[in-house]
This record gives sequence, C-alpha cells and structure tokens, in this order.
Amino acid sequence: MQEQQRQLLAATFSDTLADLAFMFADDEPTPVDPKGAWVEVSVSYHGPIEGEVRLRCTEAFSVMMAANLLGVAPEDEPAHDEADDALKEFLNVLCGHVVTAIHGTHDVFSLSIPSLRHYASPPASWDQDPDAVEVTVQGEPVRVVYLAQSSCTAGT
Amino acid sequence: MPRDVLVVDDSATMRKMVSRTMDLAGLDVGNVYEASNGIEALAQLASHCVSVVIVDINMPTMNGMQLLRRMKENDRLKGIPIVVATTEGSQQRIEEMNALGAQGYLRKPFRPEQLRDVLQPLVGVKDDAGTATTASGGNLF
Repeated sequence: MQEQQRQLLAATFSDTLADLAFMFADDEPTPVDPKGAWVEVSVSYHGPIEGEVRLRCTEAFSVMMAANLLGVAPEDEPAHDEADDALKEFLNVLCGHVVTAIHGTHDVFSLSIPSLRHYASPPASWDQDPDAVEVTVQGEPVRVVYLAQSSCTAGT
Repeated sequence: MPRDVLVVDDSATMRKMVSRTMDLAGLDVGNVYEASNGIEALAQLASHCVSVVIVDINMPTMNGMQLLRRMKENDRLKGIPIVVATTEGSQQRIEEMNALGAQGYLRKPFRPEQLRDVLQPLVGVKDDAGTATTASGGNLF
C-alpha cells in the first residue's frame, strides 16, 4: 500500500472515529495480547476499482464503540448486545469515507454488507500485514487494513 | 403536533442513533418506527402514517434505492418525503437519489444540526416551551 494511502486510511479512521463515536485514536500502538478475544469486520467495495477495508480489534473495543454510539455505559447490557452491530456500522461508515478519500466522489461505488467474525485469540497471519494502521483507542489496540483490487484475497 | 417518522437501516445501532439524534436536535417527533430493510419499511408504511422516511441505501433484501422507487410508484406512498442517510459520497449517487424523488441527503456521520436542517421543514422543532414550531427553509434538494 502506498504511504499516501496509508496516511489517508489513518486520518480517515481517526476522523470517523471522532465524528461518529466521539472516540480518539492514539498513534502509539498497544501490544497485542495473544490470549485476548478479537473481532475482525470487513467491508468490500465495488466499482471502477475494487477494494476492501478490514478492522481488527478487541471485543472490549467493540463494546466501548457500542456504548458510545448508543449513549450508554460500557457495562450496560445494550452495549454488549449491540457490540457486533455497532462495529459493523462503524466500518460501513469508515469504508464509505475511505473510498471517497482514496478514489474521490466522481465514481459510484457499492459497498458490501459488513461481515464479522470472532476469534478466541488473534490469528498469527495478522502479523503479516505490514501496511496495517495500528492505533490505540482508550487503551485497546485497533488495526485497520486496506486491501486493493487483486490483493483483496490476501491476508485471510 | 409531533410528527411520526420511519427510520430504515439494517443496523439497529444506527436506527437508535438516528432516533437519539432527532431528539438531540429538538425535532418535534412523535412515534419513531423502525425497519431493517425496504420490505419491512413497506410493511410499516402499510400500518402507520408517517411524515418522513429516513432511509439508508445499503441494505439487504431491498435496498434504499429500491424502496425509493417502490414508494414513488405507489399512489398512497409517493407523497411521503424521503431523506437518504448514507455512507456513500459520490455526486452521481446524490443525483440519482434526487432524480428518484428524495427530498434530502445526509452523509453519515451527521451532527444533530445537520439532521435538523433537513428535517425541520418536514416535522418542525420544539420551542423552549416544548411546543412545535414550524419553520421554513432547510437543507433539502
């Protein structure tokens, strides 16, 4: 991934996180707990160019996200019940803005329905994404990956 | 008088956020009905009279564009204002929605004041005394 695209991805993630969820990203990455439960959510887009955005985070981050979106405390039941949905919606919004940031507003792109998967621990293959944007949000590590065109099947 | 609204989005979180944002914006909203796709939206519209439909584009089963077309083809539904709330930002898509008859467009994430600018002409706002105030203007197509 070009450095310019990587910077756009990082900036778009931070802006969307702040605007949608009132959360703020710290550029300093947090070490990944190899025993922690993680979530990966992905959205692909199709148009003149195809691509995919993936977000990898701890389950704790997804609960915080839901709490912020719903205006409840993280320990409240709705934050846990809606954590997956909140994360999918966040990535849906993020992907729309990533597409605009990288490809502009002239062409029409269709976004897929977000797909989400839980992991008991982060897969070793995730360490093979050197272009991943790594940030920390309220103490939780978050990784954002952008895959373009034929590289969409890589890193699975 | 409070106006009823239908919010159509496959994300339950987003539907709740829209409802919450309408309240934060001081809009004079009564019942907020929800649907997770266009099929459910049509079922809600068969049972309830609403003043405006806020709809996402990207949904399974029946997406927002398809719902827009179905509503505009229905004599009973074609007069209901539709505001599209979407993550997509292409100018062509905005023009497509305008051509299909959407009254407004909001790009997610949107602030309460942005939602108010679009919906105020359609549902009005509560004044300080909690009564409705109709207003002219707004950020519509």
